[in-house]
Amino acid sequence: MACALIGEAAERAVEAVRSGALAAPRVALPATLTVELQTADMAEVASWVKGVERGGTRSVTITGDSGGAVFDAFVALTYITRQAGGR
Amino acid sequence: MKVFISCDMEGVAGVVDWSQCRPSGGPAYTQGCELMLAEVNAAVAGAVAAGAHEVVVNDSHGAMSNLDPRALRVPASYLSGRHKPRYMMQGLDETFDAVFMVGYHGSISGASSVLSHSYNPEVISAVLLNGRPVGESGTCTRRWPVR
Repeated sequence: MACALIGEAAERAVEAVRSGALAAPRVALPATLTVELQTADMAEVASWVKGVERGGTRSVTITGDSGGAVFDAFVALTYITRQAGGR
Repeated sequence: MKVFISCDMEGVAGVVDWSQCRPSGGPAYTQGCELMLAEVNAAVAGAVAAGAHEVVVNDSHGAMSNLDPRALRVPASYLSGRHKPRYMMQGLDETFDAVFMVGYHGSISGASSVLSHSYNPEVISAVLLNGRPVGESGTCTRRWPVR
């Protein structure tokens, strides 16, 4: 059942993109990604990543005019915190 | 028409327990992979039926090698393994016309949903984009090339 729904939705989506009825979501720039961490320790480790700023006791922010740069810094945040104490 | 598919696991229909999402789950994990593959192949089939000529599937779950490449529906190609600098959006560039997110799931700070989390639940408790709570899909839109 789920696969049938996914197949039909995929078909509709491609048709919608082709007809111009569906566009990528737009986000106001500069974009700010705020990440709340479980512990202050992990917020500290996250802030070691280039582009990541400490925002509060357990939060950090990533701000940029390029969505790609914001995402890339976020990926680095996930990797370093995983190594530092997560799974 | 080029379609990029990023596939995760916890949001796949029939996946309801972490044992289905981790290799340590044994037979349960094997089942999870089979369910995931079926949904990915359904998305590929739908895209191709609507005229997509190229489909790239980026495995975005765990060690990012959850699918048997031999079982992936033609003409999809497969990006697997880790580590990927662009993680769940690895391989996506401006040449693609559409992005599908298959098997994505609820966020750790959102409404109740099966196996909800955002990336690493032992570390991340919430993610906000311009002040708005987002999950993994919302975060990944920052990597979408906007034409």
